[in-house]
Parts: sequence; C-alpha cells; structure tokens
Amino acid sequence: MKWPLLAILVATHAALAAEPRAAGKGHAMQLPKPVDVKGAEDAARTREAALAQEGAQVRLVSVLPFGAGVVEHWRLANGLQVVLASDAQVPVVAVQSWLTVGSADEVAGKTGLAHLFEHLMFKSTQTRPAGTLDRVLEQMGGSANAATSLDYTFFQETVPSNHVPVVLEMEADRLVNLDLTAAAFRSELSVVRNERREVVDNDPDGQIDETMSELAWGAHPYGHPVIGTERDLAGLNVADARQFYQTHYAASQTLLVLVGGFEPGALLREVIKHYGVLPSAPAPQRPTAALPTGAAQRSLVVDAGAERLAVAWRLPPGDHADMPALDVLTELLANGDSTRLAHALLYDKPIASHASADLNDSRLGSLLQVHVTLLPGQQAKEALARVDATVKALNGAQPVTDAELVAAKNRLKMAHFSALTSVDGRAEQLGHFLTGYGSLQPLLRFSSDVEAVAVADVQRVAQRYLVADRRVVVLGEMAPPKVAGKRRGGRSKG
Amino acid sequence: MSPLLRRIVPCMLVLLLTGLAAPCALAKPKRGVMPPVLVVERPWPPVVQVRVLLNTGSLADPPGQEGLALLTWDSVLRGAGARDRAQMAQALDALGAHLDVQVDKLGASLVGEVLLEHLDAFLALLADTLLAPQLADADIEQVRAQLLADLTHLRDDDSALAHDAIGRYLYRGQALGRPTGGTEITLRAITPDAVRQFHKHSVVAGNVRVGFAGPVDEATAKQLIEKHIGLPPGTPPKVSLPHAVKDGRRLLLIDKPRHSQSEVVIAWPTVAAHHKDMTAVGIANAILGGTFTSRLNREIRELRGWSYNTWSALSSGPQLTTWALGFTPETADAPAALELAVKILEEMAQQGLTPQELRFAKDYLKGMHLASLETAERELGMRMRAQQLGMAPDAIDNYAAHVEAVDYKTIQRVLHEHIRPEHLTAVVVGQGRLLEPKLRESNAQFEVELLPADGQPEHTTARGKAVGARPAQVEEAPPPAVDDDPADSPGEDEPGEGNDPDDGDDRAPEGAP
Repeated sequence: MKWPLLAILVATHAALAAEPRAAGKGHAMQLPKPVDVKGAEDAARTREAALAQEGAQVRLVSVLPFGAGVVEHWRLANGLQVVLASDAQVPVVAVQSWLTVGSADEVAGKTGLAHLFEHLMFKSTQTRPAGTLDRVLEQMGGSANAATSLDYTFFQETVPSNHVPVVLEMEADRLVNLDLTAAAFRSELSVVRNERREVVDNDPDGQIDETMSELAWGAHPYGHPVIGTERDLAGLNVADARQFYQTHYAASQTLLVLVGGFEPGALLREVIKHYGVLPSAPAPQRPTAALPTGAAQRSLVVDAGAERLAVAWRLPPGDHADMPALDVLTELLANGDSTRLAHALLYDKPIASHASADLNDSRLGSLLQVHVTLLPGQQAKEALARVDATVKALNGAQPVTDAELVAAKNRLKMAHFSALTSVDGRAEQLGHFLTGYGSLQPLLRFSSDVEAVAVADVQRVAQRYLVADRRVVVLGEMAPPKVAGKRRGGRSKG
Repeated sequence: MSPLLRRIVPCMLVLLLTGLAAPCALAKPKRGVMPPVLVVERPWPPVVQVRVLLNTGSLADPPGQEGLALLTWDSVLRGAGARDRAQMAQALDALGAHLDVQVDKLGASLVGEVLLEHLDAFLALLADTLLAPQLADADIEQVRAQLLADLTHLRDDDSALAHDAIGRYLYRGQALGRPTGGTEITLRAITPDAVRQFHKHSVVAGNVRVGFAGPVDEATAKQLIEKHIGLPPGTPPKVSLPHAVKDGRRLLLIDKPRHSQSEVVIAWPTVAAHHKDMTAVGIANAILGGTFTSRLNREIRELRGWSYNTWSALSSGPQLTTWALGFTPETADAPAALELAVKILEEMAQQGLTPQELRFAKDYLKGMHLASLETAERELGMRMRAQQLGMAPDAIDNYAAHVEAVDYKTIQRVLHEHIRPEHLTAVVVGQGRLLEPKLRESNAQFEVELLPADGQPEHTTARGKAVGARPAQVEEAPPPAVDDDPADSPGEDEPGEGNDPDDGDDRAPEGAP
C-alpha cells in the first residue's frame, strides 16, 4: 500500500529536515505533512453551519483525502455541485465547469451538436459582447479552453488566484444568458467543419478512429463521432443550438470544480453569490444502452505511406469492479518497451514503428484499444496476426508473470500521479469521475485498487474480455499500386 | 552543522525516500567531473523528473550525415552497461519509469520520470545510458529503420510536414536548414562508428547538465549525481552558428492532391532569446496570434470561420528566433487567408500596437508566466532552456519587471525592426493543381515553388540555388547581450510567448477522432 508508507516517510523526513532549514544551511526537502482529514471536515462543517445561519442554501456532501490535501464536495439548493481542492502552494486556480451532456446525448441527425455548442459558449451573452470571456481572461493572464466527450462537456480556465471571482461571474452568466445570433452560429459552424477536415478527413489516424467508433458501437449512443458527421453538421441551424442550450445547460446539470491556491470558505461564498441565484431545471433523461456484442472487422484504404491497425475490445462501464485489473492488463500489453506487444511488433522481428494500448473508460461502456503504425512496406494484416497471437499466449501458454504485474502497477502509479501534478490535471480527474460516474471513489481508491490486483485477476479479465465476441478490428491498408494496362503486343509496365 | 553531517543528512533522506540498500556515505563516487545540477523542488506528487541536457544537437551533424545526433541519442536507449535493450527496458519498466530522448538543433535531452521511491535505482540506469550505452551495430540499424519510417510518417501528417518544411525552407543553404531528422540518403550514410564517436565526443565535462523536478532537495540531488555520474574531460563537437537570411517573399507549395484543406505556415527570423528586444517581441506575438483574441484569431477564425487552428509562436534557437504564424483553411479559402495574414503583418509592422493592446499583452504575459511556473517540471524545463539560450540570470525570476519595462516607443520600434513583411517565407501543404495558379496571382506576391507530394523540401537546396530571381541576402545575427558561448545555447519555444498549435487541444473535442 503506497499511501501509509509515504506518510511515514514524510513524517520522518520532516523531523530530519527541521534543523538545517532553521539554521539556514543546506537545502531541506519540504514534503507535505500527512493530511488531517478529520480536521478538514470539522472546518468544513463549521463553515456549513455559518453559511446556513446567513441563509445560504448549501450542503456539505463529503470531505475526502485527495493528493496532498482534501477535496470538499458541496451541493447548492438549485442542484449545482461544487468541488473544492485547495492547495496553498500554488498561485493559480483551475476553474472547470462540467456539464452532464456529451455526444451520446445527441439525437439522430443532429450529431456534433454537443461539440459545436461547446464552441458557441464563447460567443456573446445578454450582457457581454462576443469574445469578452477570452479577452477578460487573457487580460488577467489566464487561459481558457473546453472539450467535449461521449458523456460530458467541460470548460476550463486557469487564472491567478486573485481573479477567480470574476471568472465565476462570467461562467455563471454564460450558463443561463447566452445570446446566440445566426451570424455567430454560422462562423463557428464553419470553424468546426474545418476542425473536422483537419482531424478526420485529412488525417489517416482520424479516419481509423472514426471507423472504430462506428464499428465498435453501431447504433449505441457512442456509435457516432463526437465531432459529428459532415452531413449532420451541414444541416444544423441556430434553432437547433438554442434548443440544445435550453435542454442541457443549467446549474442543476453542472459540476463546478475549483483546484488551486484559495481559501475554501471565501471561495464558496463567491460561488454561492454568483450561482446561488440561478434557477434549477429538470434533468433530461440520459441515454442508456446495453453493450453491443459480436465481432466486427473492416478495411479502409488510407492515403498514407504506411499501414495502420486498430484493435479494440468492448468492456463494461468505467466504474465496473474489473476496471483496476483491466488497467493493469492494458499496461502490460503495450505500454512500455518490455511489454508483450512491444516485443511482438517493435523489437523481435520488427514490423511497426509505434504500438500502444489505451483503456478509454466511459459511463455506458469502455474500449481497450491497441493502435499500431506499421513500418513502410509492412502489412496491417501481419500486425493483426501478431496481436492475436499475443493475446492467445496471454490466455494460454504464457500467462502473466509477477514481474509483469509489478511493472504494470508501477507504471500506473506513475501515470496516476503525473495526471495530478497540475491544478488543471487534478480538476480534470475530479470532473471526469464525478460527472461520468457520480462518485469520486474510483479516483480516490485508484492506488489501493491497483495495488490489490493479483496475477489471477489479470488472467481472469483477459480470459473474460479479450475474446472474439468483443473484438473489433480496423485495418488501414494502402491502395494496391496502380498497374498500367497492357499495350497490345507489348509488355506490361508496373 | 559539520561538513560531515551535512554530507550524511541528505544521504539519510535518500535512504528513507528512495529505499537505498547501502548507506550512501559509503557509496563510491563516480570518477570524473560532476555535471552542474539544477533543482526545482515541490513537495508533491512523489514523482521526480530528471533531465540530462547535452549541448550537442543536430547542428553538430557533419554535412552529408544529417540525422547523426538523432540516431545517436535514440540509440543510447537500446541497452547500456551490462544490459542489452530488452534487459534495460525491463529494468526501467519494473520501476514504472520512462526515459525518452529529445533532440533539437543545439541540444539533446534525456528526460525521465520515476516514483520517488525508485529514484536511486533509476539514476543508476540513466547513468549507464548516458555514460556507457552499448551502441551495438544491430541496435543502431533498428533505430535507423525507425527513423527512416518516421520520414514516411512525416509526409502523412500535414501539420508536422509544414512545420518541418518551414525550418528547412526558411534557412535553406544554412546549417539551421539542415534537417534534424536527416533524409533517406544522409541517414543511410551514417556508420555505426560515427554514432559511437559522436556519443564519445558529446558526453564530456562542460557539455552536460542535469536537472531535477519534484520532492528532492538540492543537496540530495547533488549527492545522487556525485554517486552516479562522473564525466570524462573532453571537447564537444563544434557547431556552426546560423545567420538570418533575407531574400524576399518565397512560398513552397507541397502538393497533397486529395486533401480538402491546406496547412499554411509563414515564418521569418528575428532576434535571439537573450537579445534586449526579445521581451518586446514576445509582447507583439501575443497580439499577433498568441492568444484567442489576437489579431489573427479575430480575423481568420472568429470573423470568417476560415480555420480551427490559428496561431503565432516564437521558437528560440541559437543566435536567432524563428517567428511563425499558421492556420488550416479549406483549400478554396487558403489564398485569401494567406493574403489577409500578410496584410495583418504589414499593418502591424507599419502601425504597431495600440496602447491598449500593449497594456493587454503585458498583463497577459505576466499572468501566464505565473501559471508556467506552477509545476516543477514546467519550471525546470524553462530554467534549463533559459540557461541553454544564454538568457540573463534573472530572465525568469524578474520576467514580470522586464515585461512592464517595455514602453510604447520601444514596442513600435521593435515591430518596425523585427517584422519585415518584405522578407517572408511560407509553406503551404495542399492541392497543388488548384492552389498554384491562385497563389502565383495572389496580392501576397510570393515566389511560388511547387513540390510534388512525394518530394522532400531539401531537394530545393540540393540543387544549390534558391528558386526565384533574386539572390539571397545574408544578414549577420546581432551580437548576444549576455552569453555568446555556443555551448550555452539551443532552443525550442519561448515560454509564455506563443500559442503553439501542438501545445494543446484549443477547444478540441476530447474523444473526437
């Protein structure tokens, strides 16, 4: 178990470090003290009581250990959820607004609307002209961005700590007061169609990914591209966008995540000031669907100098109990230079220049995906044969070893901590888990859950999930070289 | 505290935090010279980044052996000490660590990350990789095959292709225009012995520095480096320094007959990172295309919807900086977008910024600088890069004051001197048949050269002449303000001064293809 050990080391080190720091000699490490969760919860309860006395309608949901501190989860009467993770060491704050709407919530014929709307949220509101949010943020030395996925849309700003109240005011404003004009809609639709050309139409890897989504999910809500089909995008109009806004954008559908250098009590008051007055709205029914079954395979001709391969297996939703073992399985398949697919594709009789595996977890189902870029002249079909042979060996003659398990766990710990290094990264992890699964537990338990995975667990999930009925294959193949027609009486030209 | 105790206390910390089996006071230090160590300490998370920076990049490639630095540094990852490639990979993977190589014109970096508890074991592997790579013929051949494949993959990625081509075309005929990744011909010309010699001459005292980012203090870091890394004396390979070039407006059109979009990059050389005008150049870049509210973004993306990516950025190199802008319009919009971008540049050079824009950019850069120091990894990267580029010692700590000191008169002068619209180089990747006549007729008035889809930009320089009527004018780079030691340079993007298109997903859909 990682955390208790680290806590002991930290405490011991603090004692050792005290003398040289006090004497102004040497360079002592300043590791954080072990977190006092009980003390933090008591402080939060005191704040909750004080706010109630002031008439604020806000409820403390939980206080949990997170990173080197704690995360407080609050809920306002209008349904807005607020997550606060204070870090006094940092001079900036990540402000992220997570909306429970993604491409899976789109209706037939209107694909791409969730993502387009993410862009439109930077246009004018009833009180602020278009571009105000960007201009104000940049003037304070902040930055803004946004992203749309299958299950959610989120907007992120990172600003120096003293500017957070202004950001909250603007975020609350655009959540309910967006003023969409037809001209703004048209220019942003053009931007998005250009984005699609860039990341799909003119990108062989984008074409492979789009085909994989379609093939893996079919009629499932995840089966259409997040960015939308060109046909649907071309048919969207400003009325569609306004309707989408009315349906999906409200305080009750929003999670506000704040991570960085702030005093939680003062910041919570600012949140209540700007968001507490917003109305609640009925939550739209979110889609549900069973995991598709059945093997699928498709070949496409890519305009590229080397072939590609994508192989995926359909998995349960991201909060399923098998996820930690599947995380380990994904790691030991391909994410390291000593892994099985690295040997099979990159080093022992190499046929590829790149091979990786990802576990894309989502609310209604997940995909374990392997991506391979072949060396020029090598064939995707050969790579598929080697991937299949690797999986077959894993499930038979060459089971998982203890050494593989340890290495995969260490890599996962590294990746987990790396994702939490910046305030943006921490906010994104909190938002992903709370919006996607309604709970922070899969995130907070990640280290201990991974540590508890045994070889037998990995073997079991490999045998259960890496099977033909769940496997989807996309081969990105080169067009056969053109052969000129035979001239009468002459020799063919190759 | 006594000198002995000062030596032992950090060792005790290392023992506690890294799980060293033997007391490090008894550890035998490596023979040789210890490299300088820079530490950026943060208490959490328990992950340490280690950067080993060598001032030997692709500018040190001998003519005809372009790609040598990259082939060398990629090959050092293929086994070291007593471990072959597979054993080294297994040892690193077992720690959960990763170790990568980055190579640019003037430098190479070995960059690794590891859990704090495995730092000592990781440094032993890193030291072997740096000091005693096996560099076996068979491993070098495998790396060569990968690099040749990378040249093919580059042609499949319009954005990467345009970025690669602009550097080669802008500095054609000069050392900076020679490709870091080599060409098919030059990569094949490199012998394994050349790789081994390049490594031997590079890993010497005075050419290497080490950085730590994470929960490690300076004393501990130095103790660990003293234990693991001792450098031999020697003289690193000499590099030829580049010059700024002026030769009118030139455009390389790389044909992609089936693509519905065009990747457009326009670039020109400007002053070095350590030059007194660089802070003002950074301010101007924020207004040109470095922010979402910049002139380029407003005109090309927001008002006309012509492009998703619209940007400008500064890439600091030896003795000069490349200032570039770019966008990705639909083919039909590309000529007009190019004209508009040139017009924006001309206006900026002639009329400068408004006082409001100057104030805006100053506030933006000061705030962004704060954010850029948020994590230990970012701060370490910035500080090591600043050292390499020979920037003033207070360039990072007093950045806000330097920005604030730029007055209106200065910014107007700098814009007039450092944006030279009459000397621009452009690369367009797109449909040659449709674009070539329109670009030739364009009011932007570029000399246009068409390169077939399977061509290489170096073919232009291989013919030994620049296309077009006018000869190239070579302009000496201005003298550096602080440190002119070539071994104290290289460069990538200037922190906080650009909106590099590869830096992130500017309003890009997560999960979108």
